[in-house]
Amino acid sequence: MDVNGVCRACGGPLSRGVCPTCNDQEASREIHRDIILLTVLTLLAIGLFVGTRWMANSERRLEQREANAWYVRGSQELRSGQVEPAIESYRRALGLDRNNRGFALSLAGALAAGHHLAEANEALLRLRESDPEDAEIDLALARLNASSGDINDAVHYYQNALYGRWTGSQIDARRTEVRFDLIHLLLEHNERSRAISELLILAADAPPNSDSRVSIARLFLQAGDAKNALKYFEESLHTQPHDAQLLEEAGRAAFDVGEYAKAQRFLSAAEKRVDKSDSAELLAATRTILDADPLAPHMSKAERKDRLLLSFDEALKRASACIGQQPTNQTTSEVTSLSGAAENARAELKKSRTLPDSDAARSEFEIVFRLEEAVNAACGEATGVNLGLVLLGRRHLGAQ
Amino acid sequence: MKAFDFGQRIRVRESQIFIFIIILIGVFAGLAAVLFSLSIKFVTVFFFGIDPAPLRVLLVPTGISFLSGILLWKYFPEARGSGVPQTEASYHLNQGNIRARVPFGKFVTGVLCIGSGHSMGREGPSVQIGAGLASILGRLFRLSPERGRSLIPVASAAALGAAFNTPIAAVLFALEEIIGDMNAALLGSAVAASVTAVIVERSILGNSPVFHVPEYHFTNPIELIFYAALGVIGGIVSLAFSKGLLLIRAWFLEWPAKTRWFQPAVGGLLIGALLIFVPQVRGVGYEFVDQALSGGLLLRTMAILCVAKLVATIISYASGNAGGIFAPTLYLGAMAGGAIGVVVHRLAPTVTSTPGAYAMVGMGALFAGIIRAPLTSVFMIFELTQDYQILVPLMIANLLSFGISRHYQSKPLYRALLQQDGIHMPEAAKLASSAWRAEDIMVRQFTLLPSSMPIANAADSFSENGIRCLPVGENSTLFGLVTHDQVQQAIKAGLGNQPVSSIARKKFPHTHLDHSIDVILHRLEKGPGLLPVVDRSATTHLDGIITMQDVLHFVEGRWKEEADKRYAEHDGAGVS
Repeated sequence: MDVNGVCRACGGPLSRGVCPTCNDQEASREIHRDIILLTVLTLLAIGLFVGTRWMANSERRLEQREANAWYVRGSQELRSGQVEPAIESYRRALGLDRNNRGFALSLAGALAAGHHLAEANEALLRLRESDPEDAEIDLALARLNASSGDINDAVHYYQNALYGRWTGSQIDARRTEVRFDLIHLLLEHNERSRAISELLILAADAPPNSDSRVSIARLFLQAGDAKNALKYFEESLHTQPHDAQLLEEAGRAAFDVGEYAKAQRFLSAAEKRVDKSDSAELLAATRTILDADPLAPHMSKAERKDRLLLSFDEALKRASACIGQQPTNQTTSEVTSLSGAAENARAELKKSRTLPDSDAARSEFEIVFRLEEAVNAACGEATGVNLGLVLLGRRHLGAQ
Repeated sequence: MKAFDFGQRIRVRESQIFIFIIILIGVFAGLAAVLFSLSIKFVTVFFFGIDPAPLRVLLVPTGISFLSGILLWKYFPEARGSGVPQTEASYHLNQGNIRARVPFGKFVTGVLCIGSGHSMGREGPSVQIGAGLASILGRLFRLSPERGRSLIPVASAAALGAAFNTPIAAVLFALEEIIGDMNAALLGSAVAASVTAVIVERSILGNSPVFHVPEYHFTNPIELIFYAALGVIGGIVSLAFSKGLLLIRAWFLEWPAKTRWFQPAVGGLLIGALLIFVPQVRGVGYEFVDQALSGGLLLRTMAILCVAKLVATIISYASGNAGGIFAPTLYLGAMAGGAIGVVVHRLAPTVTSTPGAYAMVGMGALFAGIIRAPLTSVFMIFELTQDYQILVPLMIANLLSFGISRHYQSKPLYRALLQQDGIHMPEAAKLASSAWRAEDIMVRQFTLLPSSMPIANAADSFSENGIRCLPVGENSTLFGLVTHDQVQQAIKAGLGNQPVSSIARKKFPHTHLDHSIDVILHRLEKGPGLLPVVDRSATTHLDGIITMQDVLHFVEGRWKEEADKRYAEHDGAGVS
């Protein structure tokens, strides 16, 4: 620009020493340059964005592959008993795929297997926070609490698992399996009534196959519900009538229920099918009960008298042995006193020319039963014939 | 058409396009941070595979560090280390100018170093890359120096926001750490860029947070005692890390300058050996932080990882590799906090939160203790947890950790690292304390004794200048100081023919152009009678000298000016 009032560049007039034309042109060039720059940079940003997004997707796939590889490795290590390396491998897998429930569950399982129970519990609780309805997480927590002896929490999580949300196939079968686990746990901790409640539900829901019936029957027997046990053993015997073990177990259940005829039938059938039966003593007791029961129906009065005399003999023999073994104390004194009463009753019965009717036989047998119970208290539980007499007394006289 | 000044037009144009530039910075910084993170992951898998053999673990960091060491030595010396201190220095001392090659060099060397297993973070490099890109954009758009400078903290906030997915904490970090002033006028721009970067990051990587944080429950006020203990332990670990890093780095820096190119490889060899036994400390390591937060790590594991990470990060950083300390800080905090959490939870399970909550608070405590940005630390953890309940325990632990760390090491780590590199950053409080600064007081014309000058000749210079101490050096490069007494003693001892550099003092107080008069007086008192004024970014560059005489002369001059002004005012008032 010129000091003479004329712009040297364009020849136009100057205003306050500045050329408005050149000034405008310069500003216009700057604006054009800015627009071009902004456009180029925007296009570059879009290109970079697309490229980076593609790269991010590839990276996700790569991470997934890596996570799976660590998971497989962890599973192999766990199978071969290398718990600590398995924990580490599962951790790596989970680190790469944080939302994978399966990885988290496996890690918790491995931690539990490595006796890191607190950490396993923490990991599972974290997982549960994200999905409180997930039955498998509850199941893992239940098993973990069961292994650490926390029965109440274990039962709580088992219940949650049973009524939680299951995914995948064979859901009913898996639920049944969980209930089996729960019942085993309850029985281990002597929670018989709760176990029987669960068993009743299980029996209603379980598939009607022989295996599950047998398992249910055994659990009923273990829980002390011999009546239901017998019912399910009998159902199973329809399909497996020659299974010696089943016959023996059914015999035991029948014996416990007091159905001695049925017990004898099952136990005899079992005895025929194996060389040496574990329940020979039980069968002997059953036979004794059936042969010596003075209160059995459909019996002549003469036979009833003979059976009563035999009962007195057996009870007195055992009482005499007990008094001889034990020092004198309150319980043996009671045995001595009841022995005396039994001796008198036996002598009177033997002398009597009248044969006892069922009411008289009942009161005579009550003396035998009281004597047996007293000997039980003084010298321990009865066996063989005496056991049969105790059970007969409990059955007929309603005593416990 | 009304004609107006071209400069005015430029200012108007700058204001109009500034918001577009801010958004572009947000986009580019966000993309760079994401790309950097993805590249590290790809390179790591490429270098190590899934289950590398021990020999590979040893050789990869050694070999790659050898390569990156050459790149860092020959082409990108500014790319060593974190990137945050360099960004601060460029903002405060270099008008925000960063060489165009720096962000690209940082990207490449950062990916190589972290990807090859060095225990370093990606946030610091992301900040430097973002700031470097912003500096390039500023130059492309021909912004004024002040505007160009202001892009640095804006880009830092954007890069950190994208790298860590915490936009608010990133803005606070830019204000608290980069600018050093929470009242900065750049808040709006920083927020805009940070939010843009986070949008870019989330649209690529999804909304998944960096960590899966535990649900926090504040169970009992007694628990605050445990958090206080965590704060104390956090402070001790912070100190161990900071002091250890500075010590080992100083040791590496003492090696001859010609060894600089292979120092990273030495670090690589040591890291490779460590990784064979503790592979969990490799790289950024956020997957293990995540597991500590979720309570999935054993007490013993966390204790081992805390110690191993501390050692690994010190080796990686001190040996001159490219990578940050932000992520290692959080890793250390998570492991230390998680371990303490396990212990207290076992001791008092009913009154304490889960170990994951302690890991979270531990991260904040270590961040406050090492990075010395307590406000950023609180907001960062708050953004991650989104839970108000964590604030009180977090603030207690942070304050204690910060207090302990500051008490035993007054200079923040980033500043101390810069100081080791010969860059002396200004302190905001000292800058503001006085209007009389060294640049006003110092003498620009002075005698600089050549290093090779015989001692006998130097004696004459003292008598010519009439002062008792003189600087020694060549062409404005300061070598040391020599006093009149030293020279006289040397002559008496028959050393008059020796070069003056042989008796020059190498350690002496110095000052910078922006230092206030109180700092100058304090340092003059401690020194030999002469205070060299040196450049902050190159402490061997001598800008001027100050003696007590100069200070007195300056003050006398100012008083005289003041008196003249008052007299004139008084005189004027009398006339009217």
